[in-house]
Formats: sequence, C-alpha cells, structure tokens
Amino acid sequence: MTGFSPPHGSFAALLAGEPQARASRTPVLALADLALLASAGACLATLLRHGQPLLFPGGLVQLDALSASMALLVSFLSRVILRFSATALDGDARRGWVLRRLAAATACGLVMALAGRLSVLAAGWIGMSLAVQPLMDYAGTAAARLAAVKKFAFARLADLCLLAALASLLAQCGTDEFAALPASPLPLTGLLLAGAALLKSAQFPAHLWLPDSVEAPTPVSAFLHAGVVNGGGFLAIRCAALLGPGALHLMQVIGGITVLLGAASVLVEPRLKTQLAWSTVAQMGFMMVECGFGLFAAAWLHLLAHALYKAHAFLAAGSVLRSPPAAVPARGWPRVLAVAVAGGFALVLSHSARLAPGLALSWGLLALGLVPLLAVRGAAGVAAGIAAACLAAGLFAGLHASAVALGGAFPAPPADAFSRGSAMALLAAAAALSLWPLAAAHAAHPAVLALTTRLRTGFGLPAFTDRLAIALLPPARLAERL
Amino acid sequence: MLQDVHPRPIVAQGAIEAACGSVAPLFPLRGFVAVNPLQGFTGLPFAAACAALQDCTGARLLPDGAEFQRLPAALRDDALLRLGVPPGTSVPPAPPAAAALSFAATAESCLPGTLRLMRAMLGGFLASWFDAGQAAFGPPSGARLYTAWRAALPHDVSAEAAGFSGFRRHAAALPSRPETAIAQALAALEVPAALHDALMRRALGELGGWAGFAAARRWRAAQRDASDDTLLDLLAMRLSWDAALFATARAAPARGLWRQRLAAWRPALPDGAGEAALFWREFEAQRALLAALAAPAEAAARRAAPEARVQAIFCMDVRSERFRHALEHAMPALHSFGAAGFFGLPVALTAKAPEAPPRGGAGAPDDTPPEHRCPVLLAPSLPAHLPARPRGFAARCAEAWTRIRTGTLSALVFVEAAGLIYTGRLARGRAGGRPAPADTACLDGVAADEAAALLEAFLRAIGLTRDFAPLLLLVGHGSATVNNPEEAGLQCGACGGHAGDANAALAAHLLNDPAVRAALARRGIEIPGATKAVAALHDTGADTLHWLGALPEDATLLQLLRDVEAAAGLAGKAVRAARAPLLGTTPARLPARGVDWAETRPEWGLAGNAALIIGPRALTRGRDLAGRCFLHDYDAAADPDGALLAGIFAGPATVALSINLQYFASAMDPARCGSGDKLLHNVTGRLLALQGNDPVPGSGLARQSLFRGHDAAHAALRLSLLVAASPAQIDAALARVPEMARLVRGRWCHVFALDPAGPVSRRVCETWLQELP
Repeated sequence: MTGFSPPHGSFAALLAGEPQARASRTPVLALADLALLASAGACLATLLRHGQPLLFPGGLVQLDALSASMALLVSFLSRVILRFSATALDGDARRGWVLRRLAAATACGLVMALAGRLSVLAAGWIGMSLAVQPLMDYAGTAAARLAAVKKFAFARLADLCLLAALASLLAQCGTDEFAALPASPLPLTGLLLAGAALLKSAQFPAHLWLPDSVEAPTPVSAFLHAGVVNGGGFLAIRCAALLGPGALHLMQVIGGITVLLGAASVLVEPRLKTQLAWSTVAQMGFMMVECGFGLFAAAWLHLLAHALYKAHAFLAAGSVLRSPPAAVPARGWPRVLAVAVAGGFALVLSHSARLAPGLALSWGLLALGLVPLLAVRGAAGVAAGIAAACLAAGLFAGLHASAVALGGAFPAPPADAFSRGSAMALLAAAAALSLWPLAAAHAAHPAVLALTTRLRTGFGLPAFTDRLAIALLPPARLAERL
Repeated sequence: MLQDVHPRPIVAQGAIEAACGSVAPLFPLRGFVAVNPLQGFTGLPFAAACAALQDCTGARLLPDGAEFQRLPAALRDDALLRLGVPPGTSVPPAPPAAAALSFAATAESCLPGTLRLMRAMLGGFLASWFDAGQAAFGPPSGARLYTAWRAALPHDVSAEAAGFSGFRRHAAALPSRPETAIAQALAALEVPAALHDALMRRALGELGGWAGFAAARRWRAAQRDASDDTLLDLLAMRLSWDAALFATARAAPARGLWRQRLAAWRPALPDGAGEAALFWREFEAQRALLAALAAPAEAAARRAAPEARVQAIFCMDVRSERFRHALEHAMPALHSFGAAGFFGLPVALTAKAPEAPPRGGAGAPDDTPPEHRCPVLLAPSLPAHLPARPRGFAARCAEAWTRIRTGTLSALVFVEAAGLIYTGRLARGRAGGRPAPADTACLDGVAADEAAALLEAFLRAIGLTRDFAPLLLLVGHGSATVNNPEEAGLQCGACGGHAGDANAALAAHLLNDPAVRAALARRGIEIPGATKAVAALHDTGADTLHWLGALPEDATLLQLLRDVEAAAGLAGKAVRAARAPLLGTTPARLPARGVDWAETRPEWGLAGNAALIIGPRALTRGRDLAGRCFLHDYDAAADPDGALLAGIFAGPATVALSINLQYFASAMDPARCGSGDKLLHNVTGRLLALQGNDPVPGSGLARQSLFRGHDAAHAALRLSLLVAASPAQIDAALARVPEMARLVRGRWCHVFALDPAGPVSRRVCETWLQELP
C-alpha cells in the first residue's frame, strides 16, 4: 500500500493544516509588523529594568510595565486584525480605507498606551475613537448609521468627562505628568476620571451602543471589543492613585450593575455576535468592579486577557456551527445546594474583617462560578474538578505575576463600610444570577416570562435610543430601508 | 374570551393557504441547500412569477428592458422568434410597481424607524423562539408560536419606548386563535377582501428569512405527511402587530396614507422587455455553448482508449466538469460519468456523539437531528450512523473546560485566568472546530435487495449497465473551509449541503457487497467479479482527490489507483491554473484558502452555472466547458419510452434548476435575494445568518459568494437543458413530469434537443424550432 495516502487521511490532514500567509502585503501590514517589533522591544527593555519606569523628556512617553504591555497588546491585536481584514476584504474597493483607518486607530492606541501625561493620553484616546468612527458606517445601511450615531454620542460624552478631568487636574496640580502627580487622591478629578472610564468602557447606561456595534464588519467589531472599550480600564489603572473613595464607590456600583445586566442578557441572547457584545458588557463591568475595589493589578490582567479572548471570539465567529451548543447546567438540588454552600462561604468571607472586601468578592465569585459546575457525579465530576483546579491555579499564578510586574504602585484597596456593603450586595446578586438557569424549567411563569422578555428587549431602551438617534439623523441619511 | 365573541370577519381559508404557499423555504445553515426563491410561484410563467415576488419583497429579478430596446431590430427579431413572439412585436417595459402593500412600510414613510421596530419586535422574538442552542434559554416551549408570542407581548415595552403609546393595550386584546387574529387584523386595517391575498403575501415577505424558515418546517412536515402551522402563526403575529400599530395615536398620519395606498394599489405586471433583455443574454451564452459542443474535440479526447480501464462516476456539479475534463485529458483510459452526487442513496446520517452532555434548554433539541444526505426533494430512507468514538477522560476535561468558559459567572473568572491562552490561537489564525470525515458511515441494516433497487435505478439513469471496467470510482465532492457559517453552500447540493463522502463510501461498500451484486444481477446488471468499486472525495477548493475507506489489495487495481492518483495530480494542477485568476490569486495559494480563517471566498462554488447537459459523455469529452455546465449521463437508446429521462427531469434537473435560480436571484438582486455581506454575518440560534443586529435574516447567497468587489462571478442566466435525445422522446418524458413541463412552458428554463439523428432544436411554446448553427 505504499505510495497511497492513507484511507480517509488526506482530507482531514488538509483541514488540520496551518493557514499559510497570503500575499496580502500592504504597507499598512509592514507598519504593523514594525509596531509589533517595537512594542516587543519596549517590553523587553522594561523587563531588563525590572519594571523601573523610563521617562522621556517632557513626559510625553512613560515606559513601564503597564504601558509596555498595553502597547504590545495593541500592536499584536492590530497586526492580527489587519491581516484578517486584508484577506477578508479582498477585492473590496474599501479595503484600503478600512486598513488605513484601523492603522490610524492603532497608532492612536499606542500613543494612549505610552503616554506620560494625561493630555497625551487623552489625545490618543480621542483619536482612536475618531479613527474607528467612520468604520461603523461600513454597511451603509440605516441600521449601521444609527449604531454609529449611538457610539459617537457616548464616546463624546466620555471625551468631555476626560477633558474636564484634565482641566481639573491642571487646575489643582499644575501638571498632568503621571510621574509628578501626588500620591493622594483628588476627589473631583477622580470622580471625573471614573466617569470617563465608565462611559468609555460601556458601563450602564453607556452600554447601550455596544450590542449595536455588531453592525460593523467582523474585524472592526473585534477591534472595538478588544481595543477601544479597554480605554476606560486603562485610564482607571493609570490614574489609580487619583481615585478617591467616591470614585471607587461609583465604579463599584455602576460596574456591579453592568456585570449583572451583561451576564443576564447573555443568557437570553440568541444572536452570536450580539451575545459576544453582551459578554463584553459583563466583562468590562467586572473589570470596573475590580478597579472599584482597588484590585488594579487584577483589572490589568483582566484587560489583557479579555482583549485577547474577545478578539479571538469575534474573528472566529464564523465557526459557531462547529462549536458545541450552549450547555444548560444540571438541574435540581445538587446545583441549589452547591450555590447555597458557595454563597454562604462567600458571605462569610465578606463578613470577615480580616479580608479586604475586594478580595472577598473575587474569591466569592470564584466559588460561585466554579462550585456549581463541580456538582456532577462520577468521571465528569473528576474532570470538572481538574479543569476547575487548573483554572484556579492559572488565576492565582496570573494574579501573582501581574501584582509583581506592576509593583506596589497602587493605593491600598478600600475597606470602608460602603465597599463592604456593595461587595455583599454584589455577591448576593451573583448567587441569585447563578441560580437563574434553574428558571429555564419555569419559562412560562409570568414573573420569569416578564423578566426574560424585558431582558431580551433591553427594557425598551434600544427602541428608545433608536428614536433619539433617528431624531438626530437628517432624514436623507435614513432614506435607505431601515 | 370577549374578543372571540365578536362576529367573525370572513377571511377565506384559501387566501391564507395561498399566502403561506407563496413563501420559498429557507433551510438552516447546517443543511443549507439551494431553493428556488420563486418556489411559491412556479404555477406562473417566469416573468409573472418575478412580478409576484416583487409585490412580496420588492425584489427585482429581471434586467432593465431598455437593454433590449437598444439592440438592432434584426437581432431583436431573432430573439423574439425564439421567445415564441411574432417578430416585430414591441415589448413594452413594465410600468413601475406600486408601493409596498403593508401598513408598517406605509408608516415608515412618515414615521421613520417603524419597519426597524417591527423587525426588532417580531424578529427578535422569532430568533429566541427558533433558537437551537445559542442562548441558555428562551420563550417557553410547548405552546404554539402564536400563543407564546401573545403571552410575551405585554412585557415588551419597545413600541411604547419608540413613541407608540397604547400599543400594548391594543396588543393585549389579541384573540387566542391565530385565524381569528388574522381576520380581526385585516378588518382593523380596513383591507378590502380583494387585497387580502396580496397583503398577506407582503406581510410574510417582509419577515424575510423567518417566513422561509417556517416554510421549510412546513415542507419537512409535508414530507412526513404531517402539517405545520408555524407559517400561519407568523402571519397572525405580523398582521396583529400592524393592526396594533394602526390603532395607536402616533400612527394617525399614516392611517390616511394607508387608505390612499389601499385604494390605489395594483399588482406588478410582468416585465416583457426585461425578460427579452434577459433572453438576449441567454441567447448569446447558448450560442457559445452550442458552438463549443459542435467544435471538434481536443486531440487527446480523440485518442481516448475505446476500452475503459477506470470508470469514474462524479457528481453532476459544475465543478466536477472542469476536473473531469482535466482528469480524462491526463488519463485516456479513464471514462467519467456524471450523476446526482448522492449516488442514489437517500441517507439519514446520525453522528453518534456518544453521551452528549446533558442539555434541555427551551429551544435546544435534545439530540442532534440526523443529517439528510440526499437532495431536499427526497425524504431520507436509509438510516446510517458514524461509529461511536470512545470518549476519553481528556474529552470530559475539555467539556468541563467549555462549561467553565460559557458559565454565567465562571466566564468572568475564566477570561481572567485563561484569556492569555488565546494569544497563540490569534497568532496562528486558528478558528477551531473541524468536521469529522464521514466516510466511515455504516448503514443501520439495509436489505441487499433494497440497496440493489436503489443502485439499479442510479446506474440505469446514467446508462452504466454493462461493459464495467476493472475499477469503478465513486467520486463525491466536498470543500475544505473554516470559519464559514455558509459552508454548506460549497458542499454537495445532492447530499443536502454536506460533503459527498458518506454517500460515496456507502455506495462503494454496497457495490462491493456480494449479496448486493447478486441482487443487481437478478435485476439485469451484471458487475464482473474482477470489478472493484472504490470511493473518493474531490476537494473542490484545492482540486485534489482523496481515497475514502479501505483500498483493494489486488496489485493490478493498486497500480490503476496509482495511475489515477498521478492523473489527478496533473488534473488538479491544470484546474487550479484555470481557477486561480478568477479568484484573483495564484494556483499555488489556492489550496491554502480553505484553511484561512479570514477567507470569505475559498472558492466560487457553483457560480457561473448556465446549462445542464443530459447525454453521453462522448458529447462533451475533450471539450472545455469552463465549469459552467452540470453534466448528467444519459443513454437515449436505452430509454425508448422516456421513463429514464423523466426520472432525470424530476430529480437532478429539478435540483439543478433550483441551484440555478438561487444563483440567478442572488446575483440579480443581492440586497433582497441574498444573505448580505459575510463580514456582517451574525449567526442566530445556530440556524441562520443575520446582517449585523437586524433580527430578520435574508435568504440566498452572500455577496462574497457571487461578487469580488464589483466584479460579478456569476452571469445571471436561466438554465439551458441540453438533452441528447429526439424531440419526441423529450416530449414523452415531459409528459410524465407535469411540474417540469409547466416550468418549461413558463420559460423557467430553456430546453434543447441534441438529437443524435437530427439537427439541434429548441423548444418554443410546445413546438420545436431548429437552431441554426
């Protein structure tokens, strides 16, 4: 039988093969390669300096673990997304336009990441948003235009908030250089910074534009969800020292509402990309909650990891039919029991005065998330245990590494009564949410039906914002079929 | 209920049935097969059907008639003659169609956003209702669609949020029966009885892919002799929504417009000039094709060995034509045949995923339904399964990992802990998920005689009943593609939108089975003992050939297989060289497209299809037909009464016609008869592709499947059926298949007789017109 391909081997082998680089060489891709190399170099330099910040004259650029890793993330994602777009838009007259816009947004993202001053950061942050803005209208449909209007409105609100924060900072300190900022919080500036971060990261009610962002082409969605929305988290981490208790409490509450809203909406959303958008809402909310509880190193890890995860999820959205369908967890008492145990454990932890409320919340969420999945018997239970153990180990390793890398640059996590109360409230709500799938058996119950219908229809808010956006748009731009 | 006590307005049940029957089915992505978008109007002549569809969806399927008017008079007369119209007749362009007969569309003109609201409210509910495993849970299952929608409606505040206060109050008074709801809504909208039919068709037309999806359920139910009321419920939902909107205060200005529109509305008229312009394009292509067939064959074909050492049965697919041409060129001792690529076996293939994870969401079915590996016209009758693979501990761990990734709260932790892993996948461009090859399928018990009956019909249809070569190849086809929800459109249409691997392997297995051979011999088809059947798969993306299943151990046969392999290598090279420029790439890069996750166009699929040639291979061998022809073998001498030809008309020709019209409509009006831009595709419920967030799916092919930028890869032409038989034989066969006869009479396709003993003639209005060379 020599000389033959093995029976039913070759076809499968071909499918398993690696995608080969295609000849979609453009100057933009070469630039992206350069940016990636430079960012990798910056990361290496930071490593060699053991994370000691490197300041450039005038404070335009500040190179430290946070900025170097953010720059590496931006340039890596941009490289992947640009290559994807170059192939996917093959033959399309708008290919060059899309690539140039994405490249410009990347450049602004790099400016934002490497900025040594808040004004430079603001320039990059506003520029990135403006560079991507026209891409929202790629489809040219009225639906895309409405989505673009919503994004524009919320992005400009965030910009205004950031510029106000900048003005307040300059008024109080006379400088906006990060290296020269006071180590103590500035209440008003902090509140404005938190507001800008929340608006940018699609936190309630600024989440309203995000589900509509899937009106943009796949690679642009990937860029928005992995890049642009992270601006808020990055700002909060960069300016952590300026955030006073008021700002942190705001982030706890708004972030908490957003997590719950996003996670509950994922459960009822049947459209894949829209579901991914709701998942971004939840993940961004979680990142803000982490910031609000002073867990900035964890938020940083979350930002990097989520960007990579979500970029992949969007770009691979076409594979949905080959992935397993949604698994509904095992019903019945084991699950209720597991949630009760985990919830009780979490509440006890959050009561314990020895633990910061933020840590209690993270451990509680970890328990609430993983323990119900362990409530299966036999080999499946062992497998679940191993998977959960691997995950927990990965989490602790990641958190430790990020804390070491970022050093002790952050203020101590808040441990006041408000934070303790919001951590408890959030844990209780999370426990209720994890029981939520049990309601699937009672979908016809009026209360369940009312809640699921309202979640699915966004409590009427999408229709309301549509109406506002239509009023804003000149009728000629809506002429196409809606 | 109070509202049910009111005197019931009369709506003819027939009108509802007619409206439901006007919707062309739309099959889910996983088993997407081509459907004639004019399926509901096949009783009408082609141009009238186009006009009827225009009233339903606004689609324009005919070219601009001015194109024809610009031709010189002599050429116009030449074309008219073949259309069966006396030369010199003027064909007037159709007057512009009336405005859409729907209240929501009328309201849109003074209240922008109304249609979007309708699509969001109805489409959003339907996406959740039909969901097959994307959301964790949706509306309660158990009740019928209309009832569930009626129960959920009071909780949807979207209409009020958009300014239509009072909407829910009107919606709360909906009757419990959908038929009553339809009648009430028609009365509330003040629709005169004469317009009921047109209004209901438009109402369903504006629900796009969901109406098609419900029609597909109806189709499947009818195949099982059951009934399915989903489409009726959809109609009731849509009309009730319009009626509730009509009653709101904000819609007051639209009510006046609506009354004017009702009074002025007239159905669209068939566009004679448009059809003539289309015909002129077709006429030019037909002349080129007939000239290519009349030209002497290439030298290699003339040298072809009279005695075949290998007989290879390919799918009739247009992509096989290119490969067969090149393969025969490289191996003169190989004789190829064209047939429906399911090899006569209507297989229902169950992927025995052992111990599927426990599920049971509202919309999610508990088991993956079997794949119908046969044309959509047939109900599968041969159950088969893939052997269960033992599920190891690693698989359980992977499952647990997935559950953590998708869990409500665990997802938050998962991303933080494991998100960095995705760096590697992003760098490699790995989308994940590969289909398992299905060539190891086993039949769940089939009697030798039953199998022999199926294979006999198959072999007789292509005229392969004697003179068997030592090697009989059964070549299915499939396309390697990743990250492509519309991949079924690139697979084998005869295998229900799946690769042909399972059918080819099963057919080869059966043909090698001594019991089946004995039964075949009793039926008059004697396959020599030395002949062995071997299955193969033609990868249409890379143009490579892969063996399926176990290979024979005989040294002579192995040598033959090796020869075929070498020839396939040469053929692949030649075909890739021809295909690459069409895709704007180089031959060497062609195979990599199938594994590139960013690729929206791994191959052109069946784009370019223009003709179906029913006749012996001798007619086409050695002629390059550029991958634009379906080829089905047929031996007129063995079919005196036209029964075999009638079978080809009823099966393969009907499928080819559906494919042709699907490409036709998607190319003519990509916005209304296509599924849109692949970069905006948002798969809903693991079923259908939406554009962006709009919850009403389109139907048909994506823009990228037909166009590269502004360059069209498919010339929209109706199918030309070229039959190698006498006109009398063709007439006899058409008389046996009334549906096809009606389509031919209505000019849905063109029929030519390539009479072996006479001139080429064209069928025009029940008679035959000799085609001048």
